[in-house]
Amino acid sequence: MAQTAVVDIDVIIVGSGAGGAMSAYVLTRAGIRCLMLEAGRDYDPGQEVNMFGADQDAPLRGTGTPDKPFGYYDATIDGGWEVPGEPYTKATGQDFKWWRSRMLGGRTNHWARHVPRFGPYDFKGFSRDGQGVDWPIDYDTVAPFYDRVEQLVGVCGGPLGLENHPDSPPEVLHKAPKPRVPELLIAAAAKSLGIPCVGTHTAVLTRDMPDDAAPRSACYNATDCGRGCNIGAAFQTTTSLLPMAKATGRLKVVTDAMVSRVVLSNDRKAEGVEYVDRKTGQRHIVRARAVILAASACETARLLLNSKTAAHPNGLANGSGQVGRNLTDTTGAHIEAVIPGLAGRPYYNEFGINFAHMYIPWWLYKAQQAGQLDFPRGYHFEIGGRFGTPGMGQEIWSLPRMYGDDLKRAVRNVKGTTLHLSLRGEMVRNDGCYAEIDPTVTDRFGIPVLKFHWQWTQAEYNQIAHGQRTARAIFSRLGGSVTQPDEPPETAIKAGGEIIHEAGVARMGVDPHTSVTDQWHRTWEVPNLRLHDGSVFASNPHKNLTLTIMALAMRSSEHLAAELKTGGLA
Amino acid sequence: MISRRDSLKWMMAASASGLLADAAFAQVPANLGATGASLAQVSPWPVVKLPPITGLGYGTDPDTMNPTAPWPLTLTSAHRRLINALGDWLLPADDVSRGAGECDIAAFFDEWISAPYPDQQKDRPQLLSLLLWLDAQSRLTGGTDFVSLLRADQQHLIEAVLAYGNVPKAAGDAFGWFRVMTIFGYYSMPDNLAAAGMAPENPIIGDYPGPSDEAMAHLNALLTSLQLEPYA
Ligand SMILES: Cc1cc2nc3c(=O)[nH]c(=O)nc-3n(C[C@H](O)[C@H](O)[C@H](O)COP(=O)(O)OP(=O)(O)OC[C@H]3O[C@@H](n4cnc5c(N)ncnc54)[C@H](O)[C@@H]3O)c2cc1C
Ligand code: SF4
Repeated sequence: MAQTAVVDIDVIIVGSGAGGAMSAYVLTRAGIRCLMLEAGRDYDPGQEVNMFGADQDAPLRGTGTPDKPFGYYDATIDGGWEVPGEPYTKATGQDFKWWRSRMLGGRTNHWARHVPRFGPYDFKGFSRDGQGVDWPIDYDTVAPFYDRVEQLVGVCGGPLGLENHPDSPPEVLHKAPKPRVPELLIAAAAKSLGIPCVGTHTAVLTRDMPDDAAPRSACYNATDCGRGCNIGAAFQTTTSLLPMAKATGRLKVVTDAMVSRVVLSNDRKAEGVEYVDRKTGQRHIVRARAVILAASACETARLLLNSKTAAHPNGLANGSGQVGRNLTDTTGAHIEAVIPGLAGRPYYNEFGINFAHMYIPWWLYKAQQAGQLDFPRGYHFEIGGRFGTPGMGQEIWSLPRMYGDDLKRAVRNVKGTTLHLSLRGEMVRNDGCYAEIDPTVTDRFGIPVLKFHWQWTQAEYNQIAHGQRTARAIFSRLGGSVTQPDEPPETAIKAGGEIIHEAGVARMGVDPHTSVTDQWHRTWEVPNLRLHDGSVFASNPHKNLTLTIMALAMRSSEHLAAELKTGGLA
Repeated sequence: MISRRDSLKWMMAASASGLLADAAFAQVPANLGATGASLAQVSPWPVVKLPPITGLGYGTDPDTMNPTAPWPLTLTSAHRRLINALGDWLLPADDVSRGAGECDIAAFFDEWISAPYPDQQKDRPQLLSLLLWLDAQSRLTGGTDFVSLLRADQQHLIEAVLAYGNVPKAAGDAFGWFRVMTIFGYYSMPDNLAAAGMAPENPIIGDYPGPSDEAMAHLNALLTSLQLEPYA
């Protein structure tokens, strides 16, 4: 039996990651009282991030295990590809991976912080090539929010000057870190092949950002950002938006609160949500004037599908039948090479801001539009490889079978010679990729779980094959040996979900028959219920999506604040 | 992110295809099989049957500020002595750093193969078979276990197994894995970074300075040799 909590709140926000925290920040600053429900436990990077902990001190030298797939120190709690007691299922013979965590701040605690803007073409893909659907908004609508989000979260990077890769206005970005040797080398090879290579936009501070509630310092170029950053240089909501929102006195956060469904007061109005206290199992109902779901795209779809009523028999706000459909992720492939010419290069601090200082953006828009490519949408390459602790990398495996002083000399010589290019590409939605409620499986709280369906199409395989050829051409220009076998794209492509950019399962649009929300993220059927994560994406460009999640959450939250103030949701 | 399994898979495929020619590291004196060491008599590769490890891992929310591995260790002191002896052969002490055995590399192996995780459990029989085989082989040729062999005999056995000189293929493969693991365990001790010409990173206050002049000179020379124009 659910207990009803009486709390004085205007808006309930489900989830404390990128979308939820941005919503809380904007709304509380606008004078709105918010209750944030977060399934994970409370988490304070100031207390829990072991920035300088040596791998030697961690079990198995910090290597990933099923308990901590991205390594012992990685800032993922109770999560990874599996969350204990909270399964998901997959259609027979199909693969999909779903990365989740259960901690305040969600996946922003350890993400890679590559934050490109979408460009004008990205919002209007259907108009350009007839595939997928257009967004109901365009780049110019979102641009001012990109400007403000970049300033607020702190993004470093330089000018781009490229087609469909918008630049930020002067003074918005922090100074770009200087490129490092591996990046300069790949940039030179790319240039010789007519491929651009530019400074990455990364949500890492290169100058201090003072703030009374959440002071943040510039990156000091020495520690693994995947562990989280207790000086606040690497953006995560737990060191920025959440403390800033709390400082207004208008945000109440309840952790270990697993929301199970949205509760309605009438067929067109959300009254609140029901949640399960993860520690006690007790169910509670909380009420507010509006509800925001920002539980991450797939979980938001799950909540809608699990909130069905007599008036919403297929799930809440699912009159269109589109909830759970149009599931997309970024395509991924990894090409790695040892570059002999880098052997013996002088050592220096190559840590930088940890992530790639430069990347290869998509450059073949004209060829694509002229019909010269056999896939409709582009990709980019993230550049990897730098001096790191000699370990199990390809340059070590490929050493001649020497021992003793020779081996020590060889290790010294080959360090920092393995480079890689990680392909990140756009897929267009297809009917074979979707999530639905599994009719038989529930999680440990009795909440029905998602079942994923996933099928790549030939377009994705063709895109991967193009990327493989391009990467090999770049490495070959550098005299490098690609270390993995020449795999067909069908096996080289990462699994659906593996790039952790899920989106599209409750897309926005202009027509309630083919979309779930309007351009303000309001579900068509329940206007005081908004979706503030990747679920609303009408397409999923290869440009990493979190900056856009935050820009859109800011835009919708301001709209909601205005609506609440003018009594629009009375 | 590349998993350990991918890395192994590629390594096997690459060495099978001869893709990773030694020439890729021409600056390094290549001594693969250069010794031509080979065994006259060969002990068979042992098949070990091990009771499974059933303990718990560190869980999905370990205290990362105070890291500990909760599982019991399983190697014997004889195993550990042998591993440390091998470690000192592979990565011996020199003016810059200690030997791998001196650093007790065996402790790293013990924690590794005693861990209740699938990857580590796959490695366990491989390590224990290798240790058994090395001792059996030592007894066959020298009448005693490996650590008590004459140094010259130890050296001959290590060279033979590195060169796949009339040894069971499984022994050559397992030793290749053991060598990589030793490197990983050794250089991940911050004190040993110096052996690789590196140092633990110190925080940099202010702008990231980028590559040093020497590093840029090396890069520019490489670009010239590749007939590439600098990027900017
Ligand atoms: C290793 C890694 C690298 C990445 N790199 C990049 C990158 O470089 N660039 C980029 O743009 N993106 C990147 N991402 C993706 C990025 O992390 C996500 O896009 C982003 O965090 C999504 O924000 P969100 O608010 O939608 O979801 P999340 O950050 O996942 O937050 C959702 C929160 O909701 C909570 N929640 C879920 N269900 C419920 C429920 N029923 N009740 C209450 N709370 C619930 C969760 O516990 C979680 O805290 C990366 C992700 C990973 C894992
Ligand atoms: S490298 Fe910089 S941003 Fe990353 S964790 Fe360290 S200080 Fe923070």
